[in-house]
Amino acid sequence: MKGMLDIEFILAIAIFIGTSSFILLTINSRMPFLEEKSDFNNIMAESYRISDVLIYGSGTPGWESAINANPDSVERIGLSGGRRFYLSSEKLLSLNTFCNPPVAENYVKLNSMLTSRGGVEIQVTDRAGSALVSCQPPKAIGLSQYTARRTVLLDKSPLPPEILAVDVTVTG
Amino acid sequence: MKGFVRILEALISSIILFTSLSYFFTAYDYSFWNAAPLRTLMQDAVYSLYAGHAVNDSFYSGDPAPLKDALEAMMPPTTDFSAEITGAPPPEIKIHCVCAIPEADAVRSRLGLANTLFEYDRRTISIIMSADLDINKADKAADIILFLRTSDLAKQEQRLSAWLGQGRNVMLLADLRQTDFTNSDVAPSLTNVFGLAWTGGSPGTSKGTFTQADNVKKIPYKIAKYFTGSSAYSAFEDFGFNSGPSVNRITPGEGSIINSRAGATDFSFVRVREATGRALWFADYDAAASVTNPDGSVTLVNDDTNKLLRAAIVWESGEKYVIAERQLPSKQPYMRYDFPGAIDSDPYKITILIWKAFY
Repeated sequence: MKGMLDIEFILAIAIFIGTSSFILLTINSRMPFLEEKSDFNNIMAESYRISDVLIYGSGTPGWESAINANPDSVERIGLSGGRRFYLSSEKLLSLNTFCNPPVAENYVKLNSMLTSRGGVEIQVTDRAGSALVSCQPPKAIGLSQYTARRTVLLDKSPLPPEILAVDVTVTG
Repeated sequence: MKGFVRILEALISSIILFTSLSYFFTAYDYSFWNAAPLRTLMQDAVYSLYAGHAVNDSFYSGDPAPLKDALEAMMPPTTDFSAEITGAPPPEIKIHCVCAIPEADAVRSRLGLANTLFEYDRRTISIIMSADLDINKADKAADIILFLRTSDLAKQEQRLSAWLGQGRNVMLLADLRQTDFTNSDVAPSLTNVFGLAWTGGSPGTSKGTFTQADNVKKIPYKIAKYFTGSSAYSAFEDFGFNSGPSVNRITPGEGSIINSRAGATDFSFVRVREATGRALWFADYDAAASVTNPDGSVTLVNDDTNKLLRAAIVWESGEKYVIAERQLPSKQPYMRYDFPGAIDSDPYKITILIWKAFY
């Protein structure tokens, strides 16, 4: 009988291997799903972060007059007119001019100012649906995307403020 | 046999082990991001509408439709919401009187309305009245259910308490006598619904003044504000009411708006009770009494009391301005957002309840 394995030992090894395989396979099958969820959550968070930067931030002082002539002098952009929730019509116009017609270098510059990952698309429309700003990548980037919609006001003093929708789409 | 049992034992334990392991490897993918976009959109929408004056413009125009339309345009089409503004006088107040139409007209004539309107702090408030003697036909859309006789309250305590519990508002504009408090049919409504109690003492004066009109935390402050904001009178006015040894001798206390002073004893002429809904008792007065001036013009003696009645009605309406009313969902969860705002001297709260109508 020497040299032969005990049936209990074989069973124990089989259960150990079975348990280990079960654990590894379960983790393995969950990982892509959780990673995908995590990535999408990051994209959502990023789109809201960028929308906050644009809505509440004023950007580098004077960027609206410098960006079309010398984009490298601008480190940061923001659309706030100074009052919370109010966007400056001058800044919206400058950003739209910077983005249209679409130029790859300008888009790369805009993207680098706003995010270090994925691509950004900015769309500002009034209540009638007319686009005041349309900044889109020259070609589609990434597989998954999320659009954060924010509602703000256009400062038209002394006229009553106008409600605008700011859509920030992040792809990754 | 021994080996077979051991193998069986090992197999059973491995099944238990695998089953229990699957419990620990369940992936919970709850994310607050499911609710965050809708919440952010709701907060942005309310702030933009407030900062863009759309909310206050709705008060001035008296029309909630543009505000509702703007909110609907901002919200995703798969959502549903209800919205209301509380704490400030609404542009329209609906009163249903449990009385005959001529009686309702008589009350209406006391309010000094131009058509249906009166002015309060540079904006207009409309009072719409309906009437029916049958309490079962009380208008469910009315902001206030008004009674003019204590006899109409007989055996109605349960109904009135239920109305208060549902957030509806009841008002009694009538003189009270001790017999009303000894009448077992009427007394429960007076004591439990309106919070009133009869008190003895020396004969009362017919003049009453505001209690705590300068305490911003108290109801008299609000009624005094509505009174001064909608008339040329001050909060120190002396108001005339019906009084006598056996009329309107109501114990004052928390909820007293107008008190009289007769010797050492105070009497209330106007008292409120606030639960989910509001109950208001307003002592009657001679609304027709007038004096002829030397130039021939006629002045109403109790014009100030008429204006006080109007101000009390504004508070009694519940100070609720409904923008969009929807039945709350019974199963799916909904989110609530409260936003503080102000129009002139009136602070208010915008409350939005939003839920996903479709998944």
